Amino acid sequence: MNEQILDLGGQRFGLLHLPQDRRSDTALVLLNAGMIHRTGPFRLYVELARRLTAAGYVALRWDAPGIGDALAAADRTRHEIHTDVLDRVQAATGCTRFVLGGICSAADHAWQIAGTDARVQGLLLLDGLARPGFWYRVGQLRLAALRPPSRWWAMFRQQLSPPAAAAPRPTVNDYRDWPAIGTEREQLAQLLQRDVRLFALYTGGAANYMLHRRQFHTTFGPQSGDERITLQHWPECDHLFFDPDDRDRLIESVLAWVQAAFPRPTHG
Amino acid sequence: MRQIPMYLNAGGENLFAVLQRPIEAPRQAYLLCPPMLHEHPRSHRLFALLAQSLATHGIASLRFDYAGSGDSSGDSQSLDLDSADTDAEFALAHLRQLLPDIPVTIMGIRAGALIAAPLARLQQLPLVLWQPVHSGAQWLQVLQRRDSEERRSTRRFPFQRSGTQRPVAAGSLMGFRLGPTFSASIYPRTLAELPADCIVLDRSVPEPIEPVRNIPLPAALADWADQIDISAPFPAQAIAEIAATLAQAGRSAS
Repeated sequence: MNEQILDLGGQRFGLLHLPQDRRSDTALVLLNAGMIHRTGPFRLYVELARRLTAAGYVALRWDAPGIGDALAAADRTRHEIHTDVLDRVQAATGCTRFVLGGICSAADHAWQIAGTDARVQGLLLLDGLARPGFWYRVGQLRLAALRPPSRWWAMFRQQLSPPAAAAPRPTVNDYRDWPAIGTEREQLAQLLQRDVRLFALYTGGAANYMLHRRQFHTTFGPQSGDERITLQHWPECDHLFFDPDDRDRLIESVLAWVQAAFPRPTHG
Repeated sequence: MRQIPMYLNAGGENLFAVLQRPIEAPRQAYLLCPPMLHEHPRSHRLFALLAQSLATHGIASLRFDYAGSGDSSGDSQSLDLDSADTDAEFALAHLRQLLPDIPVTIMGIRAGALIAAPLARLQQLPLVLWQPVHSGAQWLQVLQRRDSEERRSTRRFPFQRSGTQRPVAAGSLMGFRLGPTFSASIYPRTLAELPADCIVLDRSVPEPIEPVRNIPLPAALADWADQIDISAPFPAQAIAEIAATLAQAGRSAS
């Protein structure tokens, strides 16, 4: 194991995974999944970073301000902090290309950073952005079919309207850091123009906003079928990859994608 | 205050640890034996903040991850209590090297209590237990029931048909794939008779454990032990109050 502590300034640090036999100038930088510290849920980020390192890639796990061991609140903007993290990884390893991402808020933040930092050449979007629409409604019907008929009426009423006296229920837009509705297609076009590769996976745990694979097309339009985008929907899997078999499957899928999208440079 | 992350080379395992130092010379040091499985990441932030609060009272602390957990080397299949005992002994020796002549208190958190208590007894050191697991066998039963509930949960697995249970991956418990030695090593463990100067922090209980000193924990600092997912941050003020109580207890004892 070659894992080193990387000083990120401001009393923050990250853990840098360095391969014995480095085969790429690409580093994976994993961002916090919600409030879970740098190990990721059930150590997913540790396992993923070690697996990628064994295949010759550099990886970094770290805590953003206010999460895990990053005790102090942010002293700069998120954009500045992330830029600085990439600078430090680049200085420490020589890597010039980055794959950013992770679960949930990690996917949201990676998307934002990719829009402004040209070093970001790959996005790992686990339960990232998707808009509801017709296919979400189709997914709701599919979901209802898995529940006993005795619950259908309650589910139907819940969808129609909340109780009159109740405060408005928070929606996914209240706790996710998504771009303004309608801007995501243009943002994706800009990323593809830069030849950014995307791995977008949605789990069943995103059922509050993503229930059908075709929502990806609804969200991003015709370019959602671009060959540089790998799209997967694993409805049987939960948001945090509780089952070790699901984590194994995810790690193998991500590794295969990274190796295909960021292959070892050929010389000569 | 300074937070110093480090790897400890412990007999072939790299244990990840964080030393939290006060600004001034420390008057006391804590070794934190962390909880296990899902309780470890769930509570990581709480004990990072506690270490920070203790440092404001002149108390240094060393937090570490057992081999096969957290940021330490090894996969979860190598995690068991016997190797965790060795890791804790090693971390204690390292803390004493880092801060020679500073009195050390051992803190055991949840299942970490089953590691901290024998270590404190062996080394004749003060002991603090945070929501301790009293019986390894009972804890395993609780976790197996909880694991089963989680696998039936349509909140976690919305696409699962109501009333069915997601199949269990071989050897997994609470999201972690474990080796056969985990259950075997934890099953016979119990908290033996506690020393009279032991401090136990737990939810307010009608029948406190005698003869130790019991410090009630507010729900905001205790409820995490029943949870898997992180839903809210830990309140800094409540942590500061607990740190002040522990610091006062340390002054009274010395």
